Amino acid sequence: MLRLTKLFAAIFVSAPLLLPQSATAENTITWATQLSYRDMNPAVSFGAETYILGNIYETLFLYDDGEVKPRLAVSWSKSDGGRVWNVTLRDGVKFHDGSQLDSAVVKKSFEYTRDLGKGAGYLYADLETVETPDSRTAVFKFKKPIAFDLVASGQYGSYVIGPAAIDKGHDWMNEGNAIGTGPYTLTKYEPNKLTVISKFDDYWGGWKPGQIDRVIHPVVSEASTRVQMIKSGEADVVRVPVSQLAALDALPNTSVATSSGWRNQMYLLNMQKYPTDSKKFREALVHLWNYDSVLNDIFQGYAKRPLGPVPASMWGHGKYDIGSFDPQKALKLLEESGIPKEDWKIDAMYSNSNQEQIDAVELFQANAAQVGVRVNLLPQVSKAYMTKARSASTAANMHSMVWYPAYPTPSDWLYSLFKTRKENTGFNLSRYKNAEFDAALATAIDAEGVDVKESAKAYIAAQDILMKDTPAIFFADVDRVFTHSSSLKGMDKSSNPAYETLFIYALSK
Amino acid sequence: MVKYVVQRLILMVGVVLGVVTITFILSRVLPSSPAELMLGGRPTVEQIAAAEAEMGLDQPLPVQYINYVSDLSQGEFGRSLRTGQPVLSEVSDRLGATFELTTLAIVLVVLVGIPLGVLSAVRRNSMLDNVARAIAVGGVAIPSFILAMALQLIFYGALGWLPLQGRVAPIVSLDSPILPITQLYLIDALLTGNWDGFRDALAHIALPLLTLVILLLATVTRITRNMMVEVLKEEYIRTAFAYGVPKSSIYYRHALKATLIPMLTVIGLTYGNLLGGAVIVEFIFDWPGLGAFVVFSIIANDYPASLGATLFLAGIYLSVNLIVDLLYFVVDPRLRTQ
Repeated sequence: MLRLTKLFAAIFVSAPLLLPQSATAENTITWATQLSYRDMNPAVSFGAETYILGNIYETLFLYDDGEVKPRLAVSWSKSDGGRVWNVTLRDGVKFHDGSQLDSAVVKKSFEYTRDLGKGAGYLYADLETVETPDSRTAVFKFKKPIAFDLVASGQYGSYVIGPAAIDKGHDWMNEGNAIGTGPYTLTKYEPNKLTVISKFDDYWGGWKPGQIDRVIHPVVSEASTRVQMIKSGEADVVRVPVSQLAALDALPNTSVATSSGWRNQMYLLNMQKYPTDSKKFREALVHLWNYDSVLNDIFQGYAKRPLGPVPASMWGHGKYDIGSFDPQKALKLLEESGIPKEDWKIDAMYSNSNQEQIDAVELFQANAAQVGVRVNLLPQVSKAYMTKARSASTAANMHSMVWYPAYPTPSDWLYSLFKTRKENTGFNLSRYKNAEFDAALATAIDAEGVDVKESAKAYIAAQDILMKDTPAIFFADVDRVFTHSSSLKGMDKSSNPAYETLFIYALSK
Repeated sequence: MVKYVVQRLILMVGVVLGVVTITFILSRVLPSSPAELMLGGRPTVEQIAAAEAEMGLDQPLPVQYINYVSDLSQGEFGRSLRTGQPVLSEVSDRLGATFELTTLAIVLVVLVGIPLGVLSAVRRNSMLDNVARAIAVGGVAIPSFILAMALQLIFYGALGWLPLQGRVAPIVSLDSPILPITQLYLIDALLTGNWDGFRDALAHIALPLLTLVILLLATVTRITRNMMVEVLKEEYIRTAFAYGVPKSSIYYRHALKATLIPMLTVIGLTYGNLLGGAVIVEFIFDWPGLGAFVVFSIIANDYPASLGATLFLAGIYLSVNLIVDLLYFVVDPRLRTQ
């Protein structure tokens, strides 16, 4: 037995010597992610998969720097008050299986997404027909006016899918197969373990020396492991907790890339629950939120002070004073609210998966206690959170919310979070009901397909109404932050607030 | 003995049915929306209603239960709401990873821990005994996550000898993929003559394995030692010494044999628990095992995955217990006549 023990010990001790050298090709990068993917069918995906799908598939239009630019479409025009969109397609675009992009393919892809009706397919519920007068022209006809250029530049439900993939079906795509027109092909997919994408040689955009050939994209759940990977050079791109960023940025071999994002955070105030049904009480809570401390200490400067419900980098945002930390003013408002001091107690419900929101609400609890407001914290497992927050019997006074739009539009926040709901609360956890706001919002949405400038004005008018009612504490427009190896170039060009992904095509070594 | 085995198997079916029922009820009582989880993203009210109908969640609970048990009896475990993959393939895939890690750990612990325990008992209060005691106290006292991270820092961070996480390096899985035959990568790599794959899998398993071995060694070593100390006081041992029986024969053939039944119980229970998932170790090393899968499924209220995995775990635990009970008959012939 002792001899056997020695044998095993020898094998174990010699393991390091057996370790193969993990040599990777010069233009291969490792992008370690904490996210797990599920819906690899772009017509269904409405979540994290866009990080990888965004490099495999492409949209007709690209939203960049505040305007819609050509992508698979080279030109477009609208008529009939925004109901008809005439799109001219790029010539010479190939799918990963070698087939050509043409109008029939585009028609098939959009109709597939619409008919499936899953994910963000609801965006095309009003798509009547797609006519194909010639191979380069697709005419989209909608029942209502729509800002099709904006909608179809979004990262959900708008990718053009190869016809062979559609024929093979949803399960085939979910097994890890993809046929897009993007610069990278899906070469390996092991759910929740590993995804690999590789350069598509026939990409219409062409290739330059130094661009990335292959991306190894393993799932690494543990944050401390990702930190070690980027430090050692085993990973080239990672996302880590904000508390780690300063230390990593200080290292010579790692850098932190920051850009504006459209993800914002807020606490929605329940307007149908005592005592937050009082406007004065809600206004008091706004002044008990220490915005500077949250932004500087909790987000460590990687978030900006919001200007309202819509992030400042999105068109159609307003410019509002969201409030300032002022306990004395809060106390005055609390007294003016007429609510007895013994009732100055509220519940705050939040998902326990978001560390920044946890830290922020704990700080709020301490600040509120200074003026006699007791905040009862109700952390929830993320998947149970929405169920409890929506139910009238279990809803709290404050609910955490992180929002990101399905396509570049202010309506995604204003409609989803604040439009009056008759039966189902949906995401309107403030239970906000205001017919005047609803009407202004409807005007803005209708105008979106006709005249974006007019629509922006109408959105601001709707936000003017909303902000007077104090339905939420808006506290952070969160930056997009990636930690990467210093040898990786082009991080600034690879990030676009309209898309969650990193555009690997823009990177080089 | 056959009658005993049949009785135990019938009991196992009853226990598994009980586990299914309790887990099913718990999964339905917890506040969550499985339809919303399945849809992902931000589904509309209409999409949620359609998904609930598709999943049969609009049916009364007893009907849902009957449907579920009926599906199970046909080997249909459903799809994970979180990953979208069939539960059966998810569980069996991960079971291989957990089985490989924990079986190797148990084998190493037995091969190292039992001789160490015997030597400690024989050389009480010697340097060896003190060192073994220190290892035991350390193994029990150090939380698994601290030990795992410390080993990562030393062997990956400082020395650069061993990989940090995963079961195999992505580059190896691309360039020299291990063909899954038994789902045990070390064996599969050997069977296919994939030496790069074998070396890489061995290097990847080293740190989680070392963590588990250190954690478990303490228990096995100390139990062996303490029981050996008691057995060595027995008269038949003294008699054997008096007759001049070789020491190694006394220790390993006579004394150790007397400790085997309680040892089997401890090792069997430990092994059963480990197969259920060394959750912390799997999580820290991103080891794609069953434990981490179960935890993530429960957190996400992924009821098909939780139910399926729980069922597997119950089956494994019961099977290991049955095997241990049967080994009692092998170790102690007196039991066969009772």
